[in-house]
Amino acid sequence: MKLRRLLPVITVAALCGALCGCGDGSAQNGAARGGGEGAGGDILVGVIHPLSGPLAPYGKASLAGVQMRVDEINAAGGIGGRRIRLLVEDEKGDSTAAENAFNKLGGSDRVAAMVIPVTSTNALAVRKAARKLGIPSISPTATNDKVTVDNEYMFRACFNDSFQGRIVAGYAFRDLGIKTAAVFKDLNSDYSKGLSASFTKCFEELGGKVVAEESYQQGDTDFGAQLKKIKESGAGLLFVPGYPPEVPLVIKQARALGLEARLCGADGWDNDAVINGSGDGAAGCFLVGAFSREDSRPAVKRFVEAFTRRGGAAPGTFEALGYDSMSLLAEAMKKGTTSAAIREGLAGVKGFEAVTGTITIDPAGDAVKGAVILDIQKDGDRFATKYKATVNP
Amino acid sequence: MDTLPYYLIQGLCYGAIIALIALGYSLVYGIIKLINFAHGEFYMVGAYAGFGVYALLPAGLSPWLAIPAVLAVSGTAGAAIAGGAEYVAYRPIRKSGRLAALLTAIGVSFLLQSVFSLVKDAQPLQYPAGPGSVGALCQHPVPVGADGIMAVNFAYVPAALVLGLGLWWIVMRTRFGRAMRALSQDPDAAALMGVNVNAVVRRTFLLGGFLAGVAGSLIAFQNIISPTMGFLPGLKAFIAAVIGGIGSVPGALIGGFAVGLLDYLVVWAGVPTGYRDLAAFVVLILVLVIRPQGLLGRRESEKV
Repeated sequence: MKLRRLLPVITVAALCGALCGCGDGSAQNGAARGGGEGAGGDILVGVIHPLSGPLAPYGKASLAGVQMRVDEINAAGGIGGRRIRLLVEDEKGDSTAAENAFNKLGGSDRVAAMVIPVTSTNALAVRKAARKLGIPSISPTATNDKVTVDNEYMFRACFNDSFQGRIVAGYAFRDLGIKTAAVFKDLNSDYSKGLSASFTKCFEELGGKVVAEESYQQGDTDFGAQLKKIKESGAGLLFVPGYPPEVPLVIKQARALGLEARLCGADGWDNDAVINGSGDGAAGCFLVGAFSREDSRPAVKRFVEAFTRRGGAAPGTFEALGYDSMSLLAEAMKKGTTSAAIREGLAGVKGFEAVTGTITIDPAGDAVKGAVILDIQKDGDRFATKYKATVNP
Repeated sequence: MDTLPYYLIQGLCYGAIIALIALGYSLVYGIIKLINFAHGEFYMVGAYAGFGVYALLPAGLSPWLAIPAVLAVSGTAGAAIAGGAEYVAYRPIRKSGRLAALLTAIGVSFLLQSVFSLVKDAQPLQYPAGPGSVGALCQHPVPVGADGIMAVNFAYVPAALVLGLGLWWIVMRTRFGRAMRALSQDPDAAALMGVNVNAVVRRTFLLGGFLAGVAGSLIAFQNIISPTMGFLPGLKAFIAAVIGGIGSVPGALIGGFAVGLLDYLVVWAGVPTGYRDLAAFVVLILVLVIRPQGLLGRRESEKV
């Protein structure tokens, strides 16, 4: 009875939602676009990042890198005399908001290129719109394999999850000699599911055994039951591919429970929200990073110095990849600043010296380059990452 | 077998928090038949208020003094927001039917979540856990067999029992309690007998909000504070209230502990953790099919 009276309300609400969704998609085609003509001939570049909500530390970190690179380019005279202007949208960690932002920036603001969300789920959400509007889109850090597959407009500045999972598995099995592992994944995250699968596959191929696989959902705050199961499994390593706020809680609760397994994560851990938000439990964990601040290459030294001078805090993976995403776009713009030309340019990047390594964009649109293993260690009264090893593809 | 104590203790502790929230759900439903979906948000507001006060307290204050102060403020804030919601949103539409009230409650829930998303850009907050802090005291692991459980958990069951029994005493032994019971039986008759309906409804919201606010800070001492923290506990508490018999104080307590225990014992029994939230819903459906009035509820026939 009650439900029947609710039905008209629900139907109307659903219809409104559907109509709004349709209204956003504009029917422009990238090939025909002039692309990114802003006031005074600026080149417009859209940025869609999570700037509020639990994922805000990542969006802000990456945006700081993007912004720094834009400032540098503009200070040096821009691209062929034209300045780059960023149009920034907050997607709040929500995939629908990300897609709407893409349609707005690409449709009515007519940006020439786009820096798309930092998380895989939200980067995947803009795939369709990128092709439909014909806008070359680069994600600094979305590592899920599917982000760039079969879509000539999608690129990324980071490595993908197949590569990353293999690195964690290889380091744990060969270098640390750990033979049994547990995986704790986020069921709502494409990033987490993709990485778990690639880690499990590689770890077992090497001869190790994944003895427990537990899961949680984004927004969970109590992991006691799953961690207890993992403890009972006797795993020597616990791989937690995820983000805050869950990851710091997992680390804290694992320590309180007395879990002895070595905890590790992937690039999603290389942020202060994890490194200094997990209490004393962070010590002894390791993670995969895109670069190390201790790297002696001049590009890295210059970047770390300049970034620290701007903001005070030392940059991590997300800042560096935000910076490199913009560098890659600028490199591509040398061939022309229309969307079509930038796409061509990105697809043709070869041996480009970036902060996070020497980048070649492969036919899929992925950046081929090495990764580093970083240890979390106590540094004074805070925690910091320490370089352990470099792994090349 | 030796792994059972850990799951039992964790389940009871979680159940105690659910019970504290369920009490307010049950009380409000008992007197005005409103399913207050914003109740989980009162819990969230309590946690934020407690954290705000903690930030104002002098640094280095002993956690033993800080904790009661934080709890008192979160309870008060929970009560204030519940009373405010009642006055602003629920009272004007009390005569407009249950559907209008239910939709208003959902609106209040969204409103509170959105407002608190403005605090620190919706980023989760945590109590500091440095030496001598509230976090260090509450999160200190207490050994249980070979495992550890954060110390603050052991305060949950006593808190739920003391507050729950206190509430029961109010309902069964005071004039105000009698007015509540009269109202729940028949609002019109109660009003004719001289019961001030508005005052009783307001105080019921204040009581429910107080309990939810306290529960919010009890959880925040070991976990995070975020605008959406009230959603899942609110839902679980609703289930607990229905299982226990909505409208019944001991029913809400028992329902709360049952839901909490269920959440952990299904994992102990080997159900994959991805499916564990299902358990509470399955039990809810079973209860609704087999005993719709809940464990301790009275059967009432629908008046047409």
